[in-house]
Amino acid sequence: MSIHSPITFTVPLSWEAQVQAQHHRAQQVTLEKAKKAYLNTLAVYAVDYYLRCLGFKPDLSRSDCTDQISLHFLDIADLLLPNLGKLECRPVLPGAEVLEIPSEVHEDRIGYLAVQFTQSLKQATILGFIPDPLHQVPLSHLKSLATFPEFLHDLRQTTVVEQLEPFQGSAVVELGQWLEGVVSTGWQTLDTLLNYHPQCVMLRSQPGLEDGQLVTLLDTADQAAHTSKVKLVDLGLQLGEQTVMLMLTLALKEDRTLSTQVRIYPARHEHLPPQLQLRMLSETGDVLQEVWSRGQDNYIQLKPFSGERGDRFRLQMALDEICVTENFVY
Amino acid sequence: MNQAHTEDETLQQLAIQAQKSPPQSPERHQCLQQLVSDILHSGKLGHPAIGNYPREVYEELYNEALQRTLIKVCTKIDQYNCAHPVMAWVNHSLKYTFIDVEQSRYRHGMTYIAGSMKNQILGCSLDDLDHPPPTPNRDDQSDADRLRQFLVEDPEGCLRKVYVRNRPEITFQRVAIAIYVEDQSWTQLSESLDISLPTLHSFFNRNLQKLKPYFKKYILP
Repeated sequence: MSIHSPITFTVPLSWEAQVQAQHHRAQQVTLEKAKKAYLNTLAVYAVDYYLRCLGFKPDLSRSDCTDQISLHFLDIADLLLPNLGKLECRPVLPGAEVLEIPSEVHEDRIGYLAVQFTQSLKQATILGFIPDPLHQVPLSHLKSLATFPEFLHDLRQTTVVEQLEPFQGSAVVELGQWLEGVVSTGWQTLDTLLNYHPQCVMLRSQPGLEDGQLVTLLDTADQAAHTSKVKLVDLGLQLGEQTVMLMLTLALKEDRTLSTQVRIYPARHEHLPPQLQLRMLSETGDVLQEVWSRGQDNYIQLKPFSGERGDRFRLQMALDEICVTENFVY
Repeated sequence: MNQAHTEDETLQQLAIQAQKSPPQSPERHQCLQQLVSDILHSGKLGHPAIGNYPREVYEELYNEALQRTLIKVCTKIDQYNCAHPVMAWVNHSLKYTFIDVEQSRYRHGMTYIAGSMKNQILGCSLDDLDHPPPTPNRDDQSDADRLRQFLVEDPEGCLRKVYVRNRPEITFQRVAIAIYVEDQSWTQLSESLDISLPTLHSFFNRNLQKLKPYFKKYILP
């Protein structure tokens, strides 16, 4: 990788950013508040742009600094990352050596980014970040943006775990019973699903699905019995928008462990939406495996895994803000 | 080896590495971050139609086109074909994005990017911020009055009903007026009211969120 300079991120500021900044500036009654409104708005747009370049989906519409009320009272520049929390985007003037973080934003933020402007205010450079606020932070003490993606990633991991309900008391699919022919609610054979959901006709032509059975990577010589079941899962904000089919194949091995293969197919389209995430978690929420779709994928799958009677795990499917968890016990 | 060739190889490596990393992974984010930085520092970005506009107008159009192009590069990195040099791909996108930007300039009637008078360029510089906006908007003036009036009158009494626990004299209304109408600083206010700054902020922020619908009802057109 090239090492031109310490990692910062320079953003040309868009028309929209400047128009919005002017708009907020014009609403303020004092020169000082007007200046802050302008710079804070630009800083938020700069960070929003940076995050979108990296593939995140910040929600500008939920910033307090753009609600036309907050800026009259507070020197804030907040930007929400849904499911994670708010980042504060602080302007830094050219030649400044210190990042100032006003007291009104010391709470309710997952981190603070320093955004330095050029004199012309046409460009902004994100210099770095700190997770915890101080009133004044020397710029040299900022953490490098090189570690920012990992920082957000770690935050996301902990946030997800906190949102999981305890295993006890949630609906649990008993996989051990599948081989005895017991049907779990919501799960069916591929054939049955296709009969009841003719709109999922695309599934018939997907690779790996033949005669309603998953072409398995599991070692068939080793198995006493196997079965495949599927379930439709809705991952869109609107019903039917992003329906996928979760497919689980089980094979009972000679040593009585159950080998498991998990795949997700799109239910109504040829390809999965991009950035669909499939994870396998332990009972306590540790991420054991995860895969992502890219946008041209017919399916995604986890590496096969196995367990014994009584072992528990969870599968999580996430797309944008929607996250669905299924609990299993062998 | 040719310098330009080596630099583009580096860009290619970054692009390929980004493609190989799962979307949303820290590895991909880091690659994209470095890739954008390197593209901007490459000195190889094209300048479509540079002769067609006065300098300041061109800068504005170009800035906008560049901004849109870079985000496309990032969000569509999976579509990059490594048989072509990265800069060729970027400049190709930039050329067509520039055309879109030229068209939207007219379509959205952004007539204040006239370029004939300095003050009519979109956006302002740091120096401009030290002076009041050139043409004060009459609507904005009345918005300011409306907010002041709302805070003072508190038509439904909601602002004065809310106060800091055990300090009934510190109502939300009093704080809002001090900050907005009297232009006090938070520090000044916390000292004069003899209340800690974090407590004051926490009280105000929490209640502002709850009172927003009330505000919007009376002050937004």
